[in-house]
Amino acid sequence: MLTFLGKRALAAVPVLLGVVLLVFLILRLIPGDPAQILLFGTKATPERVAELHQQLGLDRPVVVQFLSFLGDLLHGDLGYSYSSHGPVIDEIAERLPYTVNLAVGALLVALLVGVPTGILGGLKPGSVVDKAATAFSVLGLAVPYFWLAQLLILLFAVHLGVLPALGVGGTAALVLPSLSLGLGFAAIITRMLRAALIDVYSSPYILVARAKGLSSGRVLVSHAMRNAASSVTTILGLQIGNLLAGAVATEVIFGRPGLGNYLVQQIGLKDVPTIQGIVLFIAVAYIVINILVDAAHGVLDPRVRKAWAS
Amino acid sequence: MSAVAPGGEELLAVRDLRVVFPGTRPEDAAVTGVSFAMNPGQTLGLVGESGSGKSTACLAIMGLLARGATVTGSITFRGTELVGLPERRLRPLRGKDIGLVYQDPMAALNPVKTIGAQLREPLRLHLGMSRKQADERAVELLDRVGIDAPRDKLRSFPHEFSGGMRQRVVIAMAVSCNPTLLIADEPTTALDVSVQAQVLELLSDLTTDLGIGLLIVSHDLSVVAGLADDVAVMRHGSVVEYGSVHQVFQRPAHPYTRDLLAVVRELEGDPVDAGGRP
Ligand SMILES: Nc1ncnc2c1ncn2[C@@H]1O[C@H](COP(=O)(O)OP(=O)(O)OP(=O)(O)O)[C@@H](O)[C@H]1O
Ligand SMILES: [Mg+2]
Repeated sequence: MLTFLGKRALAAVPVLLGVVLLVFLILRLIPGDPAQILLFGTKATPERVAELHQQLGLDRPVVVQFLSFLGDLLHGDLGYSYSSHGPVIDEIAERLPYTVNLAVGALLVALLVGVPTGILGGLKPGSVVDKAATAFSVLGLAVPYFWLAQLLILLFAVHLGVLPALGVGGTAALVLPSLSLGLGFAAIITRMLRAALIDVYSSPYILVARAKGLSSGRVLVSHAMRNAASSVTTILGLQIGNLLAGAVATEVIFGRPGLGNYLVQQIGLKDVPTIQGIVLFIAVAYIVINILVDAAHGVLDPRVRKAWAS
Repeated sequence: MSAVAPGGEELLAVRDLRVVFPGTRPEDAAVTGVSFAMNPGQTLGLVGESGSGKSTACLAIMGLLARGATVTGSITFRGTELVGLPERRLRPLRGKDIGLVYQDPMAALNPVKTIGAQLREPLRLHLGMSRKQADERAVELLDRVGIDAPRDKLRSFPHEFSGGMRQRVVIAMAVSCNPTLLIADEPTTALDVSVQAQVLELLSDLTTDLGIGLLIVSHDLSVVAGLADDVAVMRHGSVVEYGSVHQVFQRPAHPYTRDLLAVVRELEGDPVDAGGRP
């Protein structure tokens, strides 16, 4: 298991280097001079602009800029924000909890809704319950989360007035964002779990388990679910990127002061170090989560562990 | 034969069994008008080509058919009528009084659970054993079915075993709670020819030693000939020939049985009583 984690972490290094290079290049290629934006509203004389360029190191050749950025990165230094002048790492740390709360909330919604409906559908395919579960998952997949967010705001915040639409006022404020981001993933889990269970239940080992006299509950919990879960985790791992992207947009819609919202603001300001920092952070998070998901897959399925060993 | 049921009655009696799967027309019943009986400790061979309804008949006995299958007729096991018996009354019989060895050993064990965990299940459920007791019994059972270093194997996963070893584990599991009836649905079809003979011998030894009635399914008459006391030949869901091995092999009444026998003889290049009992 440890060698597996080590191998995967090592394999992630080139990927991260690629991400660093890409982010760096894109930010230099898109139009707009950070100095001009920083000086917006003041008298931006050519001297002031040149001075700022020098301060920010933007007067150096691009290759030198890249190498110095990379060098700082190796020391864990993400640089200083152009707009707030604080260390980018602090800016990230300050906003991260709001994003993590949202992602965890959405994941909880996805699991609490998706797992039971997936089980109901998978246990009795073709039944009324299954049809309802399928209808839910089709709807959940078809409705974009940003539109769902607006519907939820209209219903619960505007009409019923029971939940806050905006801001960060504790758990209540987390409900609507989590629902709008999580329900789509719930739909994916429902579909995957249903398909996985139908497949698992057609296996001889389920018949053999029943032939041992186990109750249907025991068969589900101790024989079927572990097999189904291992295929669902794989799919879930592939969806982590979408979850992160969705979190960015959801934060903007609900005005949550998380990383995603901050990223969008700083893109407008062309705050290069901050944008680089946040994107890199998200990339690292994505890679780490994926490694963890793969590890979970190995914990669930001994055949996967065997494949690692070889 | 050894064990005799209370009152000396039959172990299993299937009368006029009929199974219709959902979504099929009644005239396409997978099993229709099937009758046979077994005495305690006796071995009955169920033979027939693929799709003739052998597995369906076996699963009907255990009440394990796909949801919605309509079963009519009568199946009495040691005097208890099983057709229509509610799930909660059937469950204590499964794995305890009736064991199942299923056709595909590669898929009959759960790939994510250890051999030990799978062997412990019926022992703890039916015999109320502690984990430790169940482990001890599991080691005995693995040893009995011819698995080396049984204690170490408890923590192995099915993919670490060959097909023949897996089938031995399944057999150990099926007999773990001392059943009086063992249903073996094509236990050797998926195995290498060399392993087939060993597994058949194990089944035969175990059931003889423990006095277990064996219902063995095969599409191969020669497999059945070596093991069974009686044979029922199935075709298109019905039993077309039923009698003692000797009778069926010496004087097959149905043309289909004669064809089956001809195939066996051709394969073995042997005269009439190839593989038959003396
Ligand atoms: N769950 C099911 N739903 C509908 N039809 C089924 C189902 N299971 C089996 N059948 C049908 O019932 C008939 C008998 O199948 P069964 O599996 O009992 O045959 P078998 O004699 O065991 O064949 P094999 O030697 O291939 O195992 C076949 O026509 C099959 O298609
Ligand atoms: Mg069959």
